Amino acid sequence: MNPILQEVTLGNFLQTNSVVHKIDPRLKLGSVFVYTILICMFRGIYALLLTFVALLAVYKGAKIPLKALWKNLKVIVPIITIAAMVNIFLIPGSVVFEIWFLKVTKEGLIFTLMMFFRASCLVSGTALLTFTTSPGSLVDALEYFARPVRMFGGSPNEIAMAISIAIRFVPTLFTELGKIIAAQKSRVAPFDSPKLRERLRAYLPVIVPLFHITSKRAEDLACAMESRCYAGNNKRTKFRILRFGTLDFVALVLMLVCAVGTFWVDRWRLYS
Amino acid sequence: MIVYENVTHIYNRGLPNQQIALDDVNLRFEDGEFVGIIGRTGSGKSTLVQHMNGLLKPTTGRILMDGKDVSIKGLGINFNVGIVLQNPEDQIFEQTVFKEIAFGPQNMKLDSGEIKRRVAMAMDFVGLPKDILETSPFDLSGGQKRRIAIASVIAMQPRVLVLDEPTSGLDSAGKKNILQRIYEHHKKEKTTVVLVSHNMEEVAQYVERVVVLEKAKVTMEGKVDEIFEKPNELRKIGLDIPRISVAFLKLKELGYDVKNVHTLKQAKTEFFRLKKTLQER
Ligand SMILES: Nc1ncnc2c1ncn2[C@@H]1O[C@H](COP(=O)(O)OP(=O)(O)O)[C@@H](O)[C@H]1O
Ligand SMILES: [Mg+2]
Repeated sequence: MNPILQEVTLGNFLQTNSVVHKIDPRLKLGSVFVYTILICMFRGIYALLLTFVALLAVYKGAKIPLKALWKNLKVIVPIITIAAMVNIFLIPGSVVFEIWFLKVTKEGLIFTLMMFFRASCLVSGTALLTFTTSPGSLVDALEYFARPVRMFGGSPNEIAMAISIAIRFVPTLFTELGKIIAAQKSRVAPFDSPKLRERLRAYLPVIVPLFHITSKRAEDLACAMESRCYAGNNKRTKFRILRFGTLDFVALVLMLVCAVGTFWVDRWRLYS
Repeated sequence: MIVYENVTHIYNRGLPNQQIALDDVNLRFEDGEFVGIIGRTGSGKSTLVQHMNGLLKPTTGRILMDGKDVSIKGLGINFNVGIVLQNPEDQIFEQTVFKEIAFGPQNMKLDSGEIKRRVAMAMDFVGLPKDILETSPFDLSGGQKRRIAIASVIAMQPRVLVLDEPTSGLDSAGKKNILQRIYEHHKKEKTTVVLVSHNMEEVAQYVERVVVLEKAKVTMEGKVDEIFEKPNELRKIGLDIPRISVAFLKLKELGYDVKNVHTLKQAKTEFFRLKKTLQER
């Protein structure tokens, strides 16, 4: 099996019984949303660095090993590297050093570093949410935020359910994908061929069964839900009722302090 | 000969959901043997066999094939070993049955005449009728898909054939048919066969040597008769012995002079022998 696929943790919930796991999922989802916007708004590198360090601290608090985070971060490394190679040489400004005809500028270096930390923050933040929030709680939170659609005759439960199923099936699909690759490898599929064309062609025998299995799964799931009388209408009552407690209040305050703090640092140390 | 030396496999190592799937396994598969691997679900059977062709690499330890280490990381698949994975019908992707079975041989870069010959041989092997060659495999029944998947590995003519629960979900006629053919193939070609199975009747009938896995460890190993001699130990780990063996153990308990038997054929001879001795008295 492909070693990356074999152990991918993308979208996986890791139960470690930490405080972070106990925080109200609505607050966690809301924080990730707010922070995503903030991270995209930051103009300097200091705020990004601070955010990243703060995120790492929360990982520590949530008892999620950094190895799990690294598995998610690893995915963006090739993209970042390619973008960095281009930017580092192309952005004009004060030249730090030259290699042959390529000029490396201070602006280029800072831009690349910022891009790196921006992407890392985004990935770590969203991964933190899925590591510490069970799919069930996540649906509850999504449903809460989807309430306004009732005004237009929509059903928040249906929306939340669809999203949660999608999230729930990411790891399953990865497992499925791993199994299919293993099966085709056993039949000499040229995944390791030095020729790019051969290697790309080797993926057709993977995609077709994956689609087949996925649509079969979806059909089975729909049948199972129907036969248990699932209806996503607004008359559903809830088994788990979310309550905003003391812990959540403390977390909210901390989160606000961090958000305001990093934003202030960013605007205060503008373009540093 | 394939040798497992202190093989340990850990999934998700270092994460909270870490799982030790194989724990210091030492095994030896001789050429031309028919070996059964039994153990309850989750005991590590599939993980064990996937090391045989290099699909999985051990976390520690190594696997030797004829003295050569095939478990080095980065080394590709060892095509002398053909594995039919669990639920192999999930791998089907081609438009026609012919293309599906020809996938392996084609990747081995055989010429078209040889491919045709091998597909015909493999179809015959698993008992599929010739007239479905040009139909889409997706239109066929579950049992037929299974046979196609098995045929696609058979067509590669591996020296060692590994089957991971090949008969689960098939009807009883289909089960018997496939195993009978694999058994004949093994006798004729002296192929090594490794059969992962839940069905003790199957194991008793075809297998020479049994390996019992329990919680990632090899707990018992030996000839079929030796293993089924200990029904209580097997029951403790959630496995059974064939029903005919239970019946004969009962006869013995009731004071009849019978040997332990594990297959219907043995039972028949033993039964007639018993009848004769009783009549002579
Ligand atoms: N790809 C995988 N990732 C993580 N854990 C796995 C994976 N495959 C198997 N396991 C775990 O390893 C153990 C052994 O599984 P497996 O070898 O499939 O057992 P068996 O074939 O005997 O049912 C199980 O606990 C299973 O959950
Ligand atoms: Mg298995």
